[in-house]
Amino acid sequence: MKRQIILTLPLLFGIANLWAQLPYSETEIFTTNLPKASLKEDPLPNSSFLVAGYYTLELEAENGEANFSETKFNPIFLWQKGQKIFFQSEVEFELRGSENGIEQEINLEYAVMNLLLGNNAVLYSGKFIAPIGTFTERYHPDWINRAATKPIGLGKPVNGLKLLQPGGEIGIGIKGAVFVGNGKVNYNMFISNGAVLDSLNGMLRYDNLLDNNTNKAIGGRIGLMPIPGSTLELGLSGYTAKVGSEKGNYEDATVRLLALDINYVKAISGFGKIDIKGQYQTLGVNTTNYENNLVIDNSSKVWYAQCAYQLPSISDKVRWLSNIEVVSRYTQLDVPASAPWGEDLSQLTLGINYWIRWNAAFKVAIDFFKSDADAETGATGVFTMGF
Amino acid sequence: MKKIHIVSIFISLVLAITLLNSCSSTRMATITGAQLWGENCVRCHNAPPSTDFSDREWEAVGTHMRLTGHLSKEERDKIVEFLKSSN
Repeated sequence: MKRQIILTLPLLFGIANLWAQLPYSETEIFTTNLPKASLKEDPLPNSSFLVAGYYTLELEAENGEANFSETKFNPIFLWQKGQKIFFQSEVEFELRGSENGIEQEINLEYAVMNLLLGNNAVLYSGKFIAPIGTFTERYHPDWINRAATKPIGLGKPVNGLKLLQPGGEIGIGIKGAVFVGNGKVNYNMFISNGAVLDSLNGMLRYDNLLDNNTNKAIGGRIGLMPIPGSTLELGLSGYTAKVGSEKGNYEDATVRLLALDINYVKAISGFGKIDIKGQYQTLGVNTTNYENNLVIDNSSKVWYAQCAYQLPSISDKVRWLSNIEVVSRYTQLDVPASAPWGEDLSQLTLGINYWIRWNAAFKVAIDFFKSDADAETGATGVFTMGF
Repeated sequence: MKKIHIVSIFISLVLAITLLNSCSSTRMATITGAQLWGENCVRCHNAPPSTDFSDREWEAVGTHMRLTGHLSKEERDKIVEFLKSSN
């Protein structure tokens, strides 16, 4: 198995390098001096429609077996009507191999109608990705996520748990950006159906078209960008909702979620580009007694810290070097001790990417998972491309 | 009663933000679309070259990025104008 990977990687690298020698290079990723061509007369219509999106092929190697385990195609539909109306939607078509055979899924990731209110505010409605932290909302597309895998608790499924926070929510919200002095504050607040508590095991289900009570969830995020000209952003998110059915044993069950996030990217001429991201979040449900005498202190926590470094351009002869990026990430997931849906787990991810365009890369990562009882290692290769 | 509170808070926010729409910074008056392009795109992904989309497409992509990247309209317009002028 290792031999297969060792033999395959140079081949992929060679193909990628040939591609990279053609029209795209590090200069395209870093430069701010775009080619200036003559301006074309192109009167803008009152409305415009565009299909964008991304594609992913994933190769997983575990327990001595390697499989092209997943392929995804995510078209994004954008429609703008005049200066006030903007619709955006992403649909995920996913084909995944599993122990049960081939699984096919079609998911509406988001479908949002936006009313552009002015310079600093947008009112939106529909199904949207909840702005809790930044990973799920901003970095979930495979070509944007710097590593080949996602953090546990924030997209990487483990023990039946995929997300320790709302992913898609259905409701309304308002967001935008406001300038304060020379700094900037962005905000995003929403009201949605909210999470639903599974009284059998204490897990929360999100993405609910039908609420189980009349209470609505309130959530949001505020991002601070205090330094002009810097990419530094610090975020604070919160989410609360009643999650039990009304007139039942769990009518007072409430979830409270708090998240902090940080993002900093800096490109330095001759040194390369550093990309630092992190998120810390806690989630708690104020109910301990569940069905079948199950007792859980229902508090969970997940955090990750990630650093990526893209090499600089040293000379024209080896300019492909600057398409290489190395990534490391540490993730810690803590779940209730007696919960039937998981155990405390850490994930150390070490990866290397080769960017063949600004929006396309070959990525390889090794994940080292460790719990109190067990340790596992998995290798993942990904080809992903935005369009 | 709680519903009324939630609706009141939401309406207050909408009004407050509408008032803030008149706010802008001295920095925004001087900063160029190229600078904003360099600062904002790389927060999430590598900065795209202008040639990847047509002028018309940049209008939609720019608004999409305004919403996902939390830009003001002013920032979005400057970035889109810069990319279109580089096309």
